[in-house]
Amino acid sequence: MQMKKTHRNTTAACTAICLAAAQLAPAHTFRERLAEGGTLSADDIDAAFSQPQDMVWYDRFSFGSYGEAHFNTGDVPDKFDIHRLVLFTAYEFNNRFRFISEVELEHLYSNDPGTDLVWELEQAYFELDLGNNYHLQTGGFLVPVGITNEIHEPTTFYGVERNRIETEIIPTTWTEFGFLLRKNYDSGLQWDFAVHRGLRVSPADFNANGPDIREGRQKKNTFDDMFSAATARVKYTGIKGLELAAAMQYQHDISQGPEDNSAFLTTAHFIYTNGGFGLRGLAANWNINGETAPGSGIDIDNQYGAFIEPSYKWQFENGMAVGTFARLLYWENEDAPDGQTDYQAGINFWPTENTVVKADWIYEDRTGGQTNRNIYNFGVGYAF
Amino acid sequence: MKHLPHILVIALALVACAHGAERVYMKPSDFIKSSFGGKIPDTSVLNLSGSVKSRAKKIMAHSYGESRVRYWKRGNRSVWILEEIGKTQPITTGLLVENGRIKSVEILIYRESHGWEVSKPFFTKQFSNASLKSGDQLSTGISNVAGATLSVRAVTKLARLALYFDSIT
Repeated sequence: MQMKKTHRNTTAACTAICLAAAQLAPAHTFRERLAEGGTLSADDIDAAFSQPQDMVWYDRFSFGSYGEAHFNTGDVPDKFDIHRLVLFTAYEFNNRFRFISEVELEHLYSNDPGTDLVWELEQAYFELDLGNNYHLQTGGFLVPVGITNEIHEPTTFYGVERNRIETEIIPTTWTEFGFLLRKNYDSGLQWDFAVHRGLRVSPADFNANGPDIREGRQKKNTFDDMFSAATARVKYTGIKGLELAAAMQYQHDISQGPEDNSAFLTTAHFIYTNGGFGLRGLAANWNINGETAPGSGIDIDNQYGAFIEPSYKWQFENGMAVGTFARLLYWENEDAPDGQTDYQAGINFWPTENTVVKADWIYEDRTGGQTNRNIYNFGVGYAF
Repeated sequence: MKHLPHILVIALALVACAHGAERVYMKPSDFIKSSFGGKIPDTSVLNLSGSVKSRAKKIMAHSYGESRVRYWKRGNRSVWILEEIGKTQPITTGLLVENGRIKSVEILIYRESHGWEVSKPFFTKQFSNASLKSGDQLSTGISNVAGATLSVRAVTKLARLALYFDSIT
């Protein structure tokens, strides 16, 4: 009797598993039917390419990764750093609704004892398609400003380190929590509007010249200061090989303290490519109100910078590519109140489309009694 | 932190009201119809095996996901509906080939968050009249779109693949 009961239970379990498997199995039925050839209706053809409704659950996940390791030498201490490893995960709820996240591990290894291992949530947002060209994002997303903040896989830019304007003035990588609306048009025009959490620069990150904007990013993923900032961007890519974009951001109070430090960021950039030739440039300006500290009597100056970068890339039929670039940068901020000019040149080698080896040289022309420096950088990166 | 409940409520509301339009720019069947004067020809099937499979792999830089590829052909015109992943999602692309040259490229279904520019005419019209030259490369240079590099790469591979498939059918 006990044996029969066990057998019945086993049969029931097997039946349940088979039924569950049957639920998962028909994912590619339409595809298989289509591949048989012959006369097929328009509905059958359309159904074959309309994926998510009949996808198995694991097909709804997608993964990606990118990473880079750097070595810096010259007139700076030698430093080796596995700078970042990023895991991208997305889940497609249906054709119109998805979740996207990126988790980043920074400085997995570094010979610099002052460089600590950091885990960061770079993105985690829901995206809803309100129409073919109309999207709403909510959660933690990359602020739509500049060139590098949204697209920064190491295979997509020249130079081992990201350009200094998009680290000193635009604090890339810059994630904020809130809502973002995006609309694009057949003409190649796109606009974005976001309301989101604001910066919070602590008093310790102000010096006599003003705030360290980069330190204002709230890395702890807190929800304080929500909706105290707004960003608007217009982007145009309707002419072959050309991208033009401009963005403005208002921050209610970047210090979030007793001193009223409201701020405007304005930035614009262009990217032009024609065959192997490329030219890109970017300018960004912070207009920050208030004083460096309550009662200090010292008004904060603007912080701004710009760069221009010509390049040329040779693409070979075997998939390899080599590119070379030069870059001229100038910026003024709290650490360089009298300005700093950088001259940079280097080379990228792509053994495959998803991997890159980089080398570059930077000459830093510094002011304020600081010594000028030569820096040599070497790096490897991947993205898939 | 006080706003977290609001965000969760709004996120749940988004889940509940996810009924917007699909990002289907053109139905695959409509692309076939428009390529053949309004009527869909019988579906033909190309089996990917041996040298065909290995050459397709070389073009795509990875194995093509299916062992049989359907296409529609009448006279010297063939239509291919092929898919390649941009960053994370497949881009469903319709390609019309006539006399060994690309007649038109249409992005039919686009699923990626970025790189939507490849679905627009200013990008797709670059493929018009492209043929296959040595090394299975396109005879026409395709300009990159900043921020859409992976999608540009994916669609370019599909154009090369369609021209190759057309040449052997």
